[in-house]
Amino acid sequence: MTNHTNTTPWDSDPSLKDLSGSLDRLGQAERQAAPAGLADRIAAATMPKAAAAPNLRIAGTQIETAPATAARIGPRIPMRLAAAIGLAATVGAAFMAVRSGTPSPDPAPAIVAVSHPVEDWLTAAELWADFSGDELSTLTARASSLSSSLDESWITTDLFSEEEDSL
Amino acid sequence: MAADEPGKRPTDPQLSGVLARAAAGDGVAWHTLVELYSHRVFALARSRVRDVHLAEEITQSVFATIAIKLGSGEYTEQGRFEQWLFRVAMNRVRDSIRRSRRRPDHADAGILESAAAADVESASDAASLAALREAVARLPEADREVIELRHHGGLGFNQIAEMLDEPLGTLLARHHRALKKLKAMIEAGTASAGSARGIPS
Repeated sequence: MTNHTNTTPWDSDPSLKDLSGSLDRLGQAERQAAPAGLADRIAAATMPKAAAAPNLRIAGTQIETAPATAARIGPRIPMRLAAAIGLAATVGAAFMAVRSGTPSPDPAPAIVAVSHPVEDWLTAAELWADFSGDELSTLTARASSLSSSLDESWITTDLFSEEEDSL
Repeated sequence: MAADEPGKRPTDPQLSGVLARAAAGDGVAWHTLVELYSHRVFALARSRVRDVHLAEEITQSVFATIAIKLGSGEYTEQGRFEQWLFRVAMNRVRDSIRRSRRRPDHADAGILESAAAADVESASDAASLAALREAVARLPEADREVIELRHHGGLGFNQIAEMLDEPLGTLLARHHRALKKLKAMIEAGTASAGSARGIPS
């Protein structure tokens, strides 16, 4: 059983023709060695990726395109921007608080201004210290599983895409 | 519908329709596509890595890439889907081999089972296929590539020539040379073993 759509001029060579037939049987054996349910598992595992990015260009036609990568990258940018603005605001407020205290002949207000964030941090540290060991280990386990799932996701998607030019 | 069943290969218009529906998120069409080609990709991968689980991983990785590229519009259907699919598959297989740096140096008992499953009745036939498999594994890379794309992947010579960007005549000559090398290897092997068991000589 072959899939070939064309034959060779030396198929008339009996020895090579027999060998070619044996190779066909070998290929068939390899195909039939696939584990049961292979197609079902693969289709199920890769289906969301197909459904998430529903476009195909057919030569001579043009269907609007929504790159799948945009959905993955897009939401991260505003979050990073917001984090950067928040960080800058915090640092700026601390700097202004320190600076506003310097002209004062009395150093006490400046010390008070600086001490508030320090006290906040100490309070947060105490709250963190109140975490039980179980809570910490639960958090660690969740972080590990998230990390491994992210790794698997990258392995099955993007890491190998450098050489595959579409036709 | 499986592409390795005679008469079940989709025509180009049929395949284009399945591709378009799969790219649009039609789960049934995507399943059909995977069913059509997963065993052929698996056979190609298994011939190289000789590990069922790794071959399945590679096959899944290939289809994950196909799904992403189909959906993102990076593939334009011009009747060359199989060439593209198997190019992706060959790249995956090469990546895997580069990572593992493992070269097969032992007979895989699984091939005997699979040969039996393929309606190869006699034990001597199964042994012949195992010997043939070993011989294919010893071929130089360029020869092996053509043999495996043709006989494991089930591609036509025109498709392989297009995929490897070679003239058809050159590709046919490469296949012929590969067959002759394979034949010489098998004859040398059977001569040294003192037994010929069904392998063409």
